[in-house]
Amino acid sequence: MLVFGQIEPIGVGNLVPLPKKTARGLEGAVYNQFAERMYRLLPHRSMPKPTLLIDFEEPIQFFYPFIDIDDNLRFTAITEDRRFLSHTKEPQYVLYFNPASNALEYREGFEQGYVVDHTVLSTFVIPSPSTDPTAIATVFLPQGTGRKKVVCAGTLGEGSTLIPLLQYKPKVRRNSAGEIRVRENTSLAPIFDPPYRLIFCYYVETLKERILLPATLSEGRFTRGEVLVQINYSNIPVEARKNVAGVVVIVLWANQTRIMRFIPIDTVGETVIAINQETLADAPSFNFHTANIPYNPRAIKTVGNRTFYFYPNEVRISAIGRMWDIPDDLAPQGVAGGGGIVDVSNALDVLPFGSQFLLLTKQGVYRLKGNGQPFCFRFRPLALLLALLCFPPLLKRRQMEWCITGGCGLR
Amino acid sequence: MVYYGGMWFEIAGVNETINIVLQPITLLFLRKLEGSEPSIALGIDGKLYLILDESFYEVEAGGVRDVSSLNGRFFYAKNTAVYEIDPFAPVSEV
Repeated sequence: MLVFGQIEPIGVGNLVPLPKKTARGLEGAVYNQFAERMYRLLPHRSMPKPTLLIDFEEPIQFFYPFIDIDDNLRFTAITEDRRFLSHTKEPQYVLYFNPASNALEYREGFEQGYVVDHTVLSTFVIPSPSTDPTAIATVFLPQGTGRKKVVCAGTLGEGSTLIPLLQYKPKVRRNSAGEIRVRENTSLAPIFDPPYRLIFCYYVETLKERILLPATLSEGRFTRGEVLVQINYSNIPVEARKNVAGVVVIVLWANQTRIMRFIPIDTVGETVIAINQETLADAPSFNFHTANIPYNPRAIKTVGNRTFYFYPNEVRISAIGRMWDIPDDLAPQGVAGGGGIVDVSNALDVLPFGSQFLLLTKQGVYRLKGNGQPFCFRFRPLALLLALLCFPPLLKRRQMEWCITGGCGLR
Repeated sequence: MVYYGGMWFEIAGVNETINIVLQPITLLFLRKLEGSEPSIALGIDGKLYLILDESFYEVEAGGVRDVSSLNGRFFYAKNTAVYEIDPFAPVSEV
């Protein structure tokens, strides 16, 4: 029979108290906070036995939980051999055209792989999407004698394959030297004032959705009601042209951004695109936040219906309900619920904290807050810095080192 | 990848910070921390901890590879299997 305040290891669940924390109370009395809190917070004073949920039958390196469409708790796993196993223990593969072998290959070598619940514009959902969960993964692909880390997307399930989302911007020219040639029909009278510009993206199709890869904003400005776009297939590096499905043409005019056309990658000859009031009105608007794919992130984590991408010097945060990164060079306006880039280095993890987030970094912990909205970033570095409140706020360097190294001369 | 786990602390009635360095606390070398409190944490030595109101509780002595939390539930992977641990479940007698 335990007396209040007494500590002893209890066999069930291997509960072993850590070194005592003590505090001085009134008149110098010393209390054992650990025992007190243990008694108060864990009335059973022992840990319950863990419950076995799934045995993947291979040594697990990482695992990721998700809720399937029928509200069942499921898990995916990355094994020590870098295999990506679904909740039915089926291995998942990336279908990658390898320029070195000049062939499509089913590859493994995963670093992360999990299921995300997200929404995309109807424009990007293919007509008959698979009912399997949407999966996102990072995988190592060969690059010369080394390797590169690439984000992949697709569905999770037996026989499903993931598609690599390569970071490749199309080169757009007015002449045939570019990968994409674009010109306007100069026989027509100018009708646009101000002129419009064009955005070109490579895109891939998974079983769930079309995904736009990093975009190029045309330097030229156009005023006529018709542009002609030609894909110069042989100018595109083989890795890009064999791993993408086509090109997307987007019109950027005044404050409007409209998706005008999908062009399959092997289309021969010029594609004529009429651009006028009617076609612009008919075209779906383009959300910048679906545009970019993260390049070589250290880690990806989905929290609070946002996806966080951890880079060495910054953290990129998707808009609400979006899984993709935000573009570098398309100058999006920060909007409530939109995403943003946070200039904080060495971020390791993120935790939900009410309507905010806690960013755990090597140098300390930051709280991410918005301006009344759950999240509201604008693309001004100073404003972003102000949005970050470092805790502890007045930590001195020595204290910080002590804190990071664990103190007690462990440095 | 090493970072520390610390304490949640009340400042002016609002939980605003973790890791009060000037207090006598135990710092753990953690590989991963999941879930807002209670939290589940993985030490760099493979130990599994639950974190509850300024205290750490060791649940597994080693061999844990990963931890995760979803909808207030806590999971960890050891060897080839995934387990759930419920910090508020009634104790099971053996």
